Amino acid sequence: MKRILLSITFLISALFVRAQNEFPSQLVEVDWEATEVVIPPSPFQFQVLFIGGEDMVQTGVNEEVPAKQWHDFIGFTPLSAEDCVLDENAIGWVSVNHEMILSDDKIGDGGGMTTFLLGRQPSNDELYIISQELSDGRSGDFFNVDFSAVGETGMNCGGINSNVDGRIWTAEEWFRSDNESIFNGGNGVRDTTDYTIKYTEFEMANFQTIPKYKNFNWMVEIDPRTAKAVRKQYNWGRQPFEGGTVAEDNKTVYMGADATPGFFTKFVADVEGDFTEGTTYVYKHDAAGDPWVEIDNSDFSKMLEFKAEAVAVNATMFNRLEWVTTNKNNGKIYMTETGRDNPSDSWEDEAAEGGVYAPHHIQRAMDQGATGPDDENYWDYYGRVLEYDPATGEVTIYLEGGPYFEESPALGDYPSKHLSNPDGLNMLYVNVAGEDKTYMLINEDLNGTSYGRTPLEYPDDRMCEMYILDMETENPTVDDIIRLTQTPRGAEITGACATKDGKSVLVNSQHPDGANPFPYNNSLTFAITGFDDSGAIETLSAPDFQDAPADSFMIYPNPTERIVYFNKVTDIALYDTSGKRVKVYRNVKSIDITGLTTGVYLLKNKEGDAKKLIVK
Amino acid sequence: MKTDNILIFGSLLFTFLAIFGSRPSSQSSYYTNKAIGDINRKFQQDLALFTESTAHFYEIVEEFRQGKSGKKRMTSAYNNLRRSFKQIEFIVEYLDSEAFNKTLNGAPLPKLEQKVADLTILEPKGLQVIDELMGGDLEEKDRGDLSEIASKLMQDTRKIERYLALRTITDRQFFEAARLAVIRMATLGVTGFDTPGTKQGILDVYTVLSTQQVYFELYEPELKQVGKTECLQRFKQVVQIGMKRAKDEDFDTFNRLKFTKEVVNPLYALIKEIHLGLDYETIDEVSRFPLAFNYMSDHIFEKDFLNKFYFVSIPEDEHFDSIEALGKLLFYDPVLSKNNDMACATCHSPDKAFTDGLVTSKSNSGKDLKRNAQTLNYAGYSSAFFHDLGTKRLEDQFEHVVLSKDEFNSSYAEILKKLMGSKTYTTLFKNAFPNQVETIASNNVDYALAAYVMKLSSFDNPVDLYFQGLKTSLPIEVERGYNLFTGKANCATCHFTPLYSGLVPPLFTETEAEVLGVPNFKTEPWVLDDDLGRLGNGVTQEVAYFYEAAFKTPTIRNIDITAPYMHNGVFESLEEVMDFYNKGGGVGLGIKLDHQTLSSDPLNLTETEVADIITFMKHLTDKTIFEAPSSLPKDFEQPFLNTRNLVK
Repeated sequence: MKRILLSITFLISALFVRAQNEFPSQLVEVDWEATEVVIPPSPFQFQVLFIGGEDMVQTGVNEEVPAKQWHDFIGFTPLSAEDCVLDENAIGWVSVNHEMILSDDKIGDGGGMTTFLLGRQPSNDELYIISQELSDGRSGDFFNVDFSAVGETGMNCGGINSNVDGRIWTAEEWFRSDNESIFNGGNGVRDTTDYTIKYTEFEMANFQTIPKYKNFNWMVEIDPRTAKAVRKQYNWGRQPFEGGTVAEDNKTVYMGADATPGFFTKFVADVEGDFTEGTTYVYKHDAAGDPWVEIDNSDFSKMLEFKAEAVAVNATMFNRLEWVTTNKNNGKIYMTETGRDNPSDSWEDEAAEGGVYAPHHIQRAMDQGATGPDDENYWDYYGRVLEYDPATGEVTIYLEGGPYFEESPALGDYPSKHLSNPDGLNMLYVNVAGEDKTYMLINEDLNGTSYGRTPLEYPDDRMCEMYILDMETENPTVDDIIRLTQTPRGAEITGACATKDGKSVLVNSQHPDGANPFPYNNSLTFAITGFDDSGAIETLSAPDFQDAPADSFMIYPNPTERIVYFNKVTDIALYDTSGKRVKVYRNVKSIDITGLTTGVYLLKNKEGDAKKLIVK
Repeated sequence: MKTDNILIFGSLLFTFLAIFGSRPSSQSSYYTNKAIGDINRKFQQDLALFTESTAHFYEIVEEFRQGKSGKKRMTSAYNNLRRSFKQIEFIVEYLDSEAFNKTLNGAPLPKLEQKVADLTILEPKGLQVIDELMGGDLEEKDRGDLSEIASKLMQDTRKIERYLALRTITDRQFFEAARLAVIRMATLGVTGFDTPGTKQGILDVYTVLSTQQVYFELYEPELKQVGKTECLQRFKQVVQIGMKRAKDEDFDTFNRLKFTKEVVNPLYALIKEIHLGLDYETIDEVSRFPLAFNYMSDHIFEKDFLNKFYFVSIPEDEHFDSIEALGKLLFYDPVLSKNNDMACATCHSPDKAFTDGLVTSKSNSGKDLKRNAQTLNYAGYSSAFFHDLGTKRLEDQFEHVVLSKDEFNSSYAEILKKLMGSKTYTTLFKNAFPNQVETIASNNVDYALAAYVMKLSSFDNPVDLYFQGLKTSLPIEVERGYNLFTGKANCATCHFTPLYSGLVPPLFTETEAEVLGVPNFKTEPWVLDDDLGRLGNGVTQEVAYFYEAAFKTPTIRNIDITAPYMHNGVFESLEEVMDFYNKGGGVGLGIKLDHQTLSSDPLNLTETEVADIITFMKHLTDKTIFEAPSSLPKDFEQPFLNTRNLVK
């Protein structure tokens, strides 16, 4: 009798549970019934290539130490006909920046770079690192780039990877204004004696003696084959450089500076491929005729004080320019303007001295009801991607960051659609089943978590994401970008660089959270391979459920490895095979099931519809 | 028997039908018909009211500045502003803690702008700055500052309102936010942290509690449906006790110990009880990323209130105990140092709460090192390590000791080579890290030591036991001492409860450093110690004048057995430490230092008060005694290693 009572109580309480909550924490196991759409597993492969603090770099003959951390820029230098490499599967050299200033007896003080040679298994497209013996006698897998001949380096952030021939420049970004800051109590660059520039191609710079810190913040060319620095580009100005790109003519270089104000710079070489002689310009959108104003690079003092020169010619001011890239199909230049929350204090002095605000900032300020970009109420939380068209000389907004939710993206598409503080930027050219495709790769580096830059649903999320955009999209918005990957918690995702064959994208996870499991608690370089597989990129984007009736419930794909999409915005609960509720998602159009153990789950929406979901 | 089964089966079937069968009539009804619909509406209304009151406050402040209205009118406008703020604070902080701290209610100290490629100082703004000014004498210059900050608050609030007006929160989020409100009230409210000038944190308690009551009453119909209205009754009773205390007592008389025991802890538990009672999902079902505190704990002095795995990269899995056991051996094993004569325990001895009792620790050659050895108890709950916060995770701080010429003077390669020579060690490593190719990887040593340090938190001192209900009362001196520590003496505005360390509530994710003006010797003439502190920590992104002489705020748990004190061990006794604080730190003693973060005003603590605080601190010694292992592995291939001695 007692048991009967018990079950009656259960019955009654179960009724109440239904009345109260559409997702009771315990479900009775039933024969889950659902129509399944089965798709082939994702064609993408994932590989970790280079772990900071763990992989050893060859600093001398039979001498190796753990690599530095803080991986940032990645350059890829494809193997050319002149290169003599024994391994026939070799595809090219990878160069990785270390964005830091740290003393190291072996690697060298300051920042630095690491290079290695990559091969690809023809059978399965897997990448691997090829051991090399360099001309200086070093042998092994990873090599630190020797900057001793150019007076050391530091805070190697972005850089330039020439589309034309894979030449590499590293950008010394964090702008320094005294020796103390690079010395950093002996933890940084320990030799802070004055530096005398000698034996360079730059006559105006030779035998100039400058304070050590002024030998930083240049673009520096390196040779990944010998793992040696080649030259500092004393003719491009001393700036907080972040990125740049070499145009198809192999003469014009466009560069961005990460500062508020940051200036857009151009260098045009006299002779193709020789960047030691030519003319340097700064962008001024409202200049009569040509928007490029020359800054005399034969005057070394002007190169040292580039910002003052730019302000003096009333150049256009941007809010932290980051990476710059070219679309080789149409010659247009793209650059990320990552933004700074409240920039007014940072550029009002330069504006008073004559610098002019980029027109889109004046417009944005007006739209916000602020008096101008120098109004302390003017905000720039999310940043954007800009486009420069050499044909018209105009810089316009190509892709505005967000969300502010008033227009885009739709609430239900957030957070899978959002873009905040874009930083790394590159192009991926790939032939997919006979069709040439061009994609833009966009990396986030969040300036913060406020105002919806990270999903509100997860209180401790600090995720940086990488997006991919089909360049055939006209007037793209955040709705058009597809989430490709994200780095481990706390990390900046950066470096995104395609191999020449378009099969792989190399990505850096920089300064991740220490609380991630090894190796994801270190900066590391990883590769995603499979972009040439037909249908690969489509698997990343939301499916078109077309005219699915509003009262139907459709999910796709199933089984899944990561994302499941729905035909409408709803609340979702997942139950495991014991009937226990394991996950709840509110107000979503898709869910990311990363981290769930593989197996069968019951997926139930708030309308009460249930589907069986297989997690692979 | 058979009937039973049929009945059970029947009820199961019915449950199934009840769950699957019916569909809510409308898709959006969920957010409108239930409590959460009203919660969202109320929050939006209150947010709009707060925005209005910032405008009103600014208007009155402007009038005051121009001499058109008096201080009384302004004080009343300020109280009104605080009241409306305390009604929305918990949800705003929950939804956007970054914007909240940057603009609405951050500490009144300059900070460096994060994630920019330069060093830009952000001047403080928001309500705490306003409160400091409101608590001062409001001379001409202050009036201008007050007006400027009030204007900024109005503008910033508008931005936050504009963003949050488009958001809705779920039940889970509401309950989490409500618990944050309780933590904030207990740690930052009643201590005066939130109201550095006016000290009206007790008045705020009244608003916070009454706000929670109004919100929770919205759950009454839902609780009724599941037959749990009784939870709400208990909730209201506790709130009433708290509101009465807030009404009857003021900052100096407020009994924080009783308040924590009778109001804070039960309320914190009741929110979870209501949340789980209604069967709404919890954070563990939603986010892969654990928070720094465990949602399932019942109160803030519970043993597992904080989540020790939040702060490290060591995963919480079945291998942890083996890793920790290995760490325990390594910690006492001098094999880690070049000459096999120094171990972690050399400077961190278990019988002194893992300190060494020295002014500053001794190097491997017997000379004085720069700083005093810190306790390792509770050290794992921290976002940065060493006195200068130079290392950002527990696993990494060991590297410094290994490589330092004055300490272990060794390298990972050398250590691994030695350890590989012992069968016992290789087996222990293999068992602790079964999923890796190498027998021993260098980060394994770091992980093992970190795991051992994570274990050194027992939360069983008499005050903990009192809050945990394992001890019915505390001596009256301890009660007075606790109330002074968290009140008049201003200790808990930096040594935050429950760790009494610089780990900042309510999120417990960041460890703070303070500038106290600690002298080099405890004699006149007073001279500031020349240690640069945080400014010299080698972190490129932490270079700012206000980090000079800033040192980590350590836990004061076990303080009775960790003398001498301060980063340089300058004070021998707690009496000396208290005297230093009572006089207003270095600046109070006459040292010239522009950016001391400790108030230079004397605390005016009487002798009895000082004695009470010390008695309280002496009751923070843990009951648990951590023992060194009885012996070390002696099966090294190199015979001389087998003669080394265990260090205690």
